[in-house]
Amino acid sequence: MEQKPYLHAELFRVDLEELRNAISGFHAFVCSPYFPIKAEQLFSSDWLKFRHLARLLELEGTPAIPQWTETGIRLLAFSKPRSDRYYPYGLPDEETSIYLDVSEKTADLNAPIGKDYAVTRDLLSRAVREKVHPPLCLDGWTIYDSSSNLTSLLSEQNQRVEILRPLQVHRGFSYQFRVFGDSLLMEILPSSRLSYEKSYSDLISDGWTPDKLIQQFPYAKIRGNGTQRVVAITTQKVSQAISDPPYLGRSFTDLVKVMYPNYPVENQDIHLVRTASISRFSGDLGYCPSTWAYPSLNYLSILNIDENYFSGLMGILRSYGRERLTEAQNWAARFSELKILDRVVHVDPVPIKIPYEQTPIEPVQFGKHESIDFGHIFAPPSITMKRYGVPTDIVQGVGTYEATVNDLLWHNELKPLDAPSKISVIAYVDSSLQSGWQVLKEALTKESKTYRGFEQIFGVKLELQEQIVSDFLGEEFAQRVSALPEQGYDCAVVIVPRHMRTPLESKLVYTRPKTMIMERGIPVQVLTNDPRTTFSRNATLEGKSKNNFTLFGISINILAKVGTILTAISESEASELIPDSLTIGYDVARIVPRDLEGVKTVPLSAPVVIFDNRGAYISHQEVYHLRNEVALFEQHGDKVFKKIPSGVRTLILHKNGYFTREELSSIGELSKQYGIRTIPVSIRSSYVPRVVNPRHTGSDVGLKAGTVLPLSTRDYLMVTTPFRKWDISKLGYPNPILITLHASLDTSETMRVLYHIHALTKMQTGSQRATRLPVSIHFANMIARFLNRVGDPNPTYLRFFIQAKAGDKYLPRWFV
Amino acid sequence: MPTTIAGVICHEDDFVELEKRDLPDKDALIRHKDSLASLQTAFDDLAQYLTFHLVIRAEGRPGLREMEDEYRKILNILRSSHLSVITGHIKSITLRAFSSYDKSSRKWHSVEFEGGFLERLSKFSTNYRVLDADYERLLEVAKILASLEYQRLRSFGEPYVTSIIEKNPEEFFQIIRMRWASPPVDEYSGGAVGSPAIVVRDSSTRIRHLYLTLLTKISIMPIAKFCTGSQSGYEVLACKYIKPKNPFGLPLIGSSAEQCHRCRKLFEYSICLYQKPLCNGFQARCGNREFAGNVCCGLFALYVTRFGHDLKVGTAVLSNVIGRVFEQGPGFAYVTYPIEGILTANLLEKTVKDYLAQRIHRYSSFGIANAYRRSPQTIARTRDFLENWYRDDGRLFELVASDLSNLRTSVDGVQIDFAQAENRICSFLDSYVRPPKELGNQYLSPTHSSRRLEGPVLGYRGSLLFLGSGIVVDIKKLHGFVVRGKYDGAETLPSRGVIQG
Repeated sequence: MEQKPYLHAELFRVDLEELRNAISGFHAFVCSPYFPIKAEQLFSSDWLKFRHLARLLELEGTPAIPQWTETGIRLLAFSKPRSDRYYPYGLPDEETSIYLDVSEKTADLNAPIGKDYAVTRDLLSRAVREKVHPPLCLDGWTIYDSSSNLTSLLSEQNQRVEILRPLQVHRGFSYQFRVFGDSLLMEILPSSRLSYEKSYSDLISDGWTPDKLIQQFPYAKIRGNGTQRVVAITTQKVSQAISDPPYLGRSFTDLVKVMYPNYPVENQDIHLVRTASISRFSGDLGYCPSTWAYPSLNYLSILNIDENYFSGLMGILRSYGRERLTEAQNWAARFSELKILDRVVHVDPVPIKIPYEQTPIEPVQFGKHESIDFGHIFAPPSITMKRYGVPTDIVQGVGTYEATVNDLLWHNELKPLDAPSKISVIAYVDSSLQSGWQVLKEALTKESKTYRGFEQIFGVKLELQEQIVSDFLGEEFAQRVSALPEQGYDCAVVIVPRHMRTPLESKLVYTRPKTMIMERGIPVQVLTNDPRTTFSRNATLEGKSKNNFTLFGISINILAKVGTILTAISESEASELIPDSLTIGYDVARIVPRDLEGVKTVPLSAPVVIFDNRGAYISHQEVYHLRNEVALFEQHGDKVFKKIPSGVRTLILHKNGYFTREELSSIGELSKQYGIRTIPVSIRSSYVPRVVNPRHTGSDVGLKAGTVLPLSTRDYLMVTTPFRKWDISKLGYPNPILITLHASLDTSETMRVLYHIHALTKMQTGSQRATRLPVSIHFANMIARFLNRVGDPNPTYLRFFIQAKAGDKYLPRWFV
Repeated sequence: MPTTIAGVICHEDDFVELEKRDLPDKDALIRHKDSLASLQTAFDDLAQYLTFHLVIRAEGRPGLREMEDEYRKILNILRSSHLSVITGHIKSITLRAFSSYDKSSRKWHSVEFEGGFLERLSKFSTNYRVLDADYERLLEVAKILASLEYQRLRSFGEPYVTSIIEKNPEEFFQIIRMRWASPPVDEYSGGAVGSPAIVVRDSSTRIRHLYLTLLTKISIMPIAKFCTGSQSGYEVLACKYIKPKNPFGLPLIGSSAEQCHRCRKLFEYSICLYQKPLCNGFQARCGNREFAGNVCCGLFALYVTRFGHDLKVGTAVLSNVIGRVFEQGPGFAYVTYPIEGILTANLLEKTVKDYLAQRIHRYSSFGIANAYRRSPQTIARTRDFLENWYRDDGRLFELVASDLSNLRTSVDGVQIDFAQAENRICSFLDSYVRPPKELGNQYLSPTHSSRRLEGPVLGYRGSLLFLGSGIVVDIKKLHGFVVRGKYDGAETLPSRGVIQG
């Protein structure tokens, strides 16, 4: 039999038998804590309070971890706790003290990848950490070599960028242990760790003002507390009392003595930095000394600081691209012997192989497969558009069609699937850009020899009014906008310079006018003029007016904002998907309020409901305030389910991230209550193992969009993005997504659900390009990103966008 | 007048291809009425085969010792300019023999080089030849170049060129390149992409994109090639040698380089782009990982196009492959991607060219007779365009795609299976504007880059502009040239805009 080709994944098998033997003699003490009300109030979720208790036990030298069981969370201690009373955050208050009952009976650990997985994972992680010795360092789940610094390879010019001089880039890897089916795998992802060697305190000494510092570095890595948003650099000292919980009248120094005995605060005159946790796993102290806070940079922030530096750094990282798999293997070899209780557990330093079928598979073939033992490449989906006025399936390669929204640009006979006959748009033009706008406007709207113009291409009449604005951030403009009739236009276009006088102004000119106009129920499209013309680039308004692809992009952005349905997954393919189904995609974001008072961060969820399985019609895009990140269905499930129209028998739920037990449990109950079958699907995009085609040694070559690879009967890796310029801050990083299906599905249904996800990556109608995530999640992410940028946890304008305006059927997609 | 001494270097595979091309005879070119223009036209077409070329000047008539020194200087420059950043060697060297004029006999006769010189020569390559009357193709190219620069110096020397610019700099601008919009290859198979632009640097060193529209009037007089300066991210830098009255910096008359030595220093490794690298980029032998990562290790695409009876195989950076093909003006192209790394792309280009050449008979029914890596001469391309403007090569490239799907090869340790690569057949015809048929014959007369180029734009294709005056301007040949001309200062010219001098 001919052997199938295979792809490597950055996953390394852990010897399960050795692991089982290693932990078989291991006993854990089951701890049952009692949290009085005052203690409960200190934590936003059960999980966090158990985690905190585990930390208190660790501080006394008792290793402990919380563990989910069928009846809830319990705490397992690896030795007998020394006390039956623990004080959260060291609060010397009996009313907040936690009582701990320790069972004399120990829990046997015999299911290392089953019920005891949390314990084995913890033991394995401890074993990994024990192997980290200088120059290797540990930062969360990343291990890096502190002796290597890639910034030393930058050109002299880039090394002279003052603000980035303290930046160091170390090579290393991030790791996770993952269970897929009956396998335990160590995921080793070669990655670079960015560290900024000057603290906020150092930078203030260098002459930075607190305001400028926060503006430049809004996120900080806090010693022992992960990455947090910096809210303020206060005048308060570490020795002064803080009234907020968990300090409750104590100073930071007091708290750190009990909670961070290894991190003493030497200088009592150090100012405190006020921080907001951006993840439910980050620290919850709310304050830290400015000597503990270091600017947290990511590649996007480096790009914003200096494009040349960014480009140089990308180049250096890229030059190591071919070594990626070898690097992962080398790290795996270094960590291949993990010691658990004096027994060695081996990690195979050879990455796993996943065979796959190279011939693309069409939806009609899904029923022919009895099992998914190997990977497949899904054929690109066909789409529906109007052809000569009739909805028609457009198939890639048939005629000269690409089966993407771009076909509208090249083919006169094609028109959007469902579009209004005319749209009314108001353009606010920066006074400095009037002439450029006139050129662009003419190119957009008028038919010429090289471009057919808006109406000809889309069959939509564009009624365009314009107003000149001298200051988008001024009072006069605000008054003008407030006088706009509510939902008086289908869309507003804001034409502004790419760069204003300061970075803050550049940011504000994007967000402030946009939110002001949206308050009037009008979605906004921002267009910029970038005067930095180079040999190969002209992003001025004039330059944009000469590029058909750009003109088309601007047009479909406007149409998407209006709510036009440009395309849908073709009827023929949709009929092969889960029948009578509806898809919800959602993401949870932590918003740091613009005017932070009392509340540190606000978890918000933005579910986007896509009616039918064709990925086209959005019916609902409300934003919900949550008690915590996992409470959407528990808190608001009724409201979400009530919006589901009759006739829908299956609800597919796409979550950006992993569904927790609490969520699955709430969804299960709602499913029973409303008589609707649910298929929860976790879609993870961070820390996903890359796949590599061994016949190519590169990291991003030899892969095709639509490749789906089984890791178990419910876990799949899917390559969704085609090949783009190698730029990890932008679309196109050839990084698969990890899909987990939390429902009992047969092979055919599994294929249909997976194919649907693939097809939804092509449904981003606000852009010409496929997205890495299905639009169900991509749209929710865009909502979250915008809210995050604006810092508004109560976006009142959303009331306009939850349903179409009276007498209209198009729901504006304000977020695309 | 000084003596001009030219040095040229090319890679072996280019040399092999050069040998198959028709080569003009230097002596015949010199006898033309407008010999400067004829030499320029001939050299413009030959330059694509050269990895590097340069001309140096020796005052008066050098003696044997001086000539040996000049040759050695040229060899050093050729080697250090292009071979130092890679591991490579010079396979063979051909020198023209030194001739001395005997006043008494009134005859030229060859003088043997001295032993010391020949010993030094052998250190560059043990395989060297000194030819007197014998014909050798590459040597003939060098002779054409030397004659061209001699004629140019006779017409207007470097001091003259800079002095006329300094008198009135605002009358001049520099042509940087022709640019077409480049949609992503995986989303493009045909359709108009928009107007092409001539990218220019004006006398205030600003970069402007002059978009072409029909009837745009062109009236420019190419003066000389100057350094194009450099670019670093979004920052465009003028030549380091600019002066208040000379905004274009250093003249590069007679050099194939686009940048002077000082500007090139900023991107000294960019030279790798123009040669056949033996470093695959990931090795970063040049030591510049920034550059290696951003350029050499990037993603590339391979294309096959058609010019007349030739299939032309080329490669380009993936993100710009459509624009790159547009610049050449073919009607159709087969494009396959992605190819990781500049070395893989380069070696694959040769493999594919050979593969297609072996099967060339399969394409004979489409009129194809050759497979090359270089384009035919401008005049041949122009003829092909004008005679077959709307030729549909879709079926030809379907056959090419089908044949290539059987190609499996190993390049630099990487297995390439064309059946598994992404590929598409693109049509470019919708973006071109055909000039009136009645002017067709006029466009087939040779045009050279040293005469006034004047007339309204009546058509364009690739880097060719068809003017109402019957002139075809190949903007590619004017890269780096400072031209006397004026334009209205706007980046977008009105439909009846003016580019004139």
